[in-house]
Amino acid sequence: MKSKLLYTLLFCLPLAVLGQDTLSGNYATLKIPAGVHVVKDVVTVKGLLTVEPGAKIELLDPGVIVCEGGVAINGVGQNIEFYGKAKQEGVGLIIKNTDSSSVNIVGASFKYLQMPLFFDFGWKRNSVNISDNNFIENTGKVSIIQVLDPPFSFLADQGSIDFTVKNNLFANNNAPVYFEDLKSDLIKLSIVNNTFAGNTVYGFKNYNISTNILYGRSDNNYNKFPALIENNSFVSNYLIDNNTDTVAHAANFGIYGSDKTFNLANNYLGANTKLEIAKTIHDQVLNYNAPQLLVEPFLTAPPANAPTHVYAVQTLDNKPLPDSLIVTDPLKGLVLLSNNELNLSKSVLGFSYFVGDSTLKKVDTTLTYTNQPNGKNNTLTITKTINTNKKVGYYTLSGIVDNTGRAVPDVKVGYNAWLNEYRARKLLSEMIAINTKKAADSIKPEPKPKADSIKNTFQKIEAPVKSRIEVGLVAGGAIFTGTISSPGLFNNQMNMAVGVHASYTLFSNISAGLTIASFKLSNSDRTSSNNEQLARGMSFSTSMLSLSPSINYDFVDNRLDTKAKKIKPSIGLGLDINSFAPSGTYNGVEYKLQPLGTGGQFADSTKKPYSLLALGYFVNLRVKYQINKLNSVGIHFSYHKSMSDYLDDVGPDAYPSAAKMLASGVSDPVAALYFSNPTSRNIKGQFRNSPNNAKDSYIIFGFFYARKLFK
Amino acid sequence: MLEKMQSFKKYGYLIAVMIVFQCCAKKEVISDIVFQKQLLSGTGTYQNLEHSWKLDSTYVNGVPVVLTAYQRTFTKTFVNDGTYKDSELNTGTWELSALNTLRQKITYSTTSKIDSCSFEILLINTAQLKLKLNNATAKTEYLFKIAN
Repeated sequence: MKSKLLYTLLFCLPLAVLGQDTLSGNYATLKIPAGVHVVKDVVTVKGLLTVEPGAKIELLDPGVIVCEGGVAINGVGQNIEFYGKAKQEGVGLIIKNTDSSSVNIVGASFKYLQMPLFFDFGWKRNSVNISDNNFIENTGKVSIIQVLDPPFSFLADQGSIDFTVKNNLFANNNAPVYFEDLKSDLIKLSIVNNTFAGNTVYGFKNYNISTNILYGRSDNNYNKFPALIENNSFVSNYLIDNNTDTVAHAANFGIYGSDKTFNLANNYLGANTKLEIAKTIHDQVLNYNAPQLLVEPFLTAPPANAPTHVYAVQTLDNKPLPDSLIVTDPLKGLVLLSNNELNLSKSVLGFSYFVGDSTLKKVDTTLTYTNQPNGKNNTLTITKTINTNKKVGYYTLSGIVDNTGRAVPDVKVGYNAWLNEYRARKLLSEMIAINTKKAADSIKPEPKPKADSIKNTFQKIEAPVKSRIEVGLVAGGAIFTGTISSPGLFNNQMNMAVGVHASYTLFSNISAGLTIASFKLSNSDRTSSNNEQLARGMSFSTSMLSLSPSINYDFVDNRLDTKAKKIKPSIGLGLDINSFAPSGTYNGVEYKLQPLGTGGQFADSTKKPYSLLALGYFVNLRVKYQINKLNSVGIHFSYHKSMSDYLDDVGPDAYPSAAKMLASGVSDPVAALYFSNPTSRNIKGQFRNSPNNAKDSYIIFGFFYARKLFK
Repeated sequence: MLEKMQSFKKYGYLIAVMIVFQCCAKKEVISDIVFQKQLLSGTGTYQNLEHSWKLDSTYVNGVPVVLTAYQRTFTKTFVNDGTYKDSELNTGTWELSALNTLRQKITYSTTSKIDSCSFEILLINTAQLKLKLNNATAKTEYLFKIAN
């Protein structure tokens, strides 16, 4: 049995899916039968659009049906439904083009749409009949129905369009009904027996013509067909301020144009006095250029042939409850006054109220009641009350229908005041939230700067390549600290060093540098504080040309250019490629020492002369003072270690014998002999670089000026 | 623009001053006669207060004289402070009155007789010293080798 049921369900499911028809594209004619149909984009019907009773058409944004021909929507008891979905509200129907057909929209329901009916500019039909429809809870804020002018010709007799809007219910919509011309030579407009109840027209706080549930123009250059507007009921229609979502003004009817007057007699305008009615209309009283609305005689109650609605609410002792009522104490009951009998069998009475003094928290409760119908009056006695601790709330009676089963607009009591309270609480809660955040921010300790991590240190720079280049001049001194040098740094000879330096910023704290320096190194054992070196008596001088690439760590982010960070130290490592040629003076003549083989290189066949090109490495320290964005000066210090031990010509060679030196065949053996052992010491068992066997090194220090070539 | 140029001028001066300052590096310059003195007697510094020269050969009128073994041990020592001594325990003083002109006063240890003589330095380097005795009837030349 169970499996049969399952099979039946599985069989029915695809049918149900297939039963939902999606409409799209262009149709010559279109007949929409009963059932669910979905419109997700523009559907254009060139010819007749027929919608049969029972059709449910879901319009999802941007779904719209464009009718270029006739329209035949003939429902029974609003059983044709055009509706949107929350957050995906479709547009509606657009009537456009000139066509000799008619538009009949009868017995349909339009719900949750942006603009249910739009008669676009230049439209024309023989007649239009919009009757017995419900326009309920449409969300668009432009228009529920918007009727622009058909094309007009002064030369030809164009006939007229009978445009009837009859027995429609407009309830709880967010937009007005708009006619470009309420008085026309082409449209014979009749708006009769309609109910406009509980609509909220969205606009700004200033009440004007267009912020009424029904509005249009009446110009005196037309004289054929003034609109017939009578036996309509306008109840609880309000302008809602877009900024605050609160009620700004009652908003029943607006008129403008060059006519002196416009007839709005025989309508129920929500009040029984002209003074009160004047508060709900926009005419010459508020704008002297607009026509005067002639509202008298007005109806003191809605006509019975308008869609059923509640037009007034009273207390159980028949005292009127105005829309502005602030409900802080529970009501014992309500008396509903309507234009027709109501069916409350499925109605639900709810009460919503705030909790606490300043929160936005709302409680929705359902109340129980008993109903005592008395013709067009219904007395509801509330049997379950709620203790709200005098918090502002409002009652909602929903699910009302009339005796034909047609929907009746919901009744709200105290809603306008509740909106004001909601607004006040919202502002208060926002202020509290801001103050709480400020207080929290002030208590919260300042976030500690994160310690420099590798990630932080090596931040990529987005600056253009050329703006990362800096060039500069370097000047200062060079001191040799190798074999022929004194232990006391400043006992050594200091020579000038000059050079050019270029650097390229790689990352926020890393830069690459290249220095080309020319300098001289010289020294003499005679200035040494070491006796052994004094006894050795050697001296030398060499010109150096170095090419030194380096990589530097900048302690301060090199992109910063602030007063607080003007001093920017950095430390770096690099390589040296040195060209050198040591020389010495013998008997007043300067000799290049390498060709003489002073270490016995030419006196001993197992030896060979040293290279005059040497590699080395160095560490450097720079402190830069940023004068401005482009220019900087600073000091630098670098310690260089050479991988050759012959910068001073004195390497780890044994003293060569005098006889061999004299017989070495070099250009000047006597000079070679002298340089090999200038003091003629007894050198048995010693190396020339004794006593310290120091590896050759030197320091360079001084000033620099650097400039970024490009900003 | 003018301000920029003035700014560059300022930096130019700074660099120029640095260059001039650095050019004043100390340089060691000694005269030929001092250098010759240092070759002859040492620099006067540690372990280089004197140079001893051992007689290697003698020429009279260009003809080598055969030296005895004893004569070959003869050593002249020139102390940097101007004093003189030799292997025969004679003492005295020496001076380079001019380049290549060596004057000596020698007090002979056996007779205490003081004698003066003058030599022309024909050759001197760190290993060799060749002297020619002046005012002699025969042209007498002595070749010494360093014997430190």
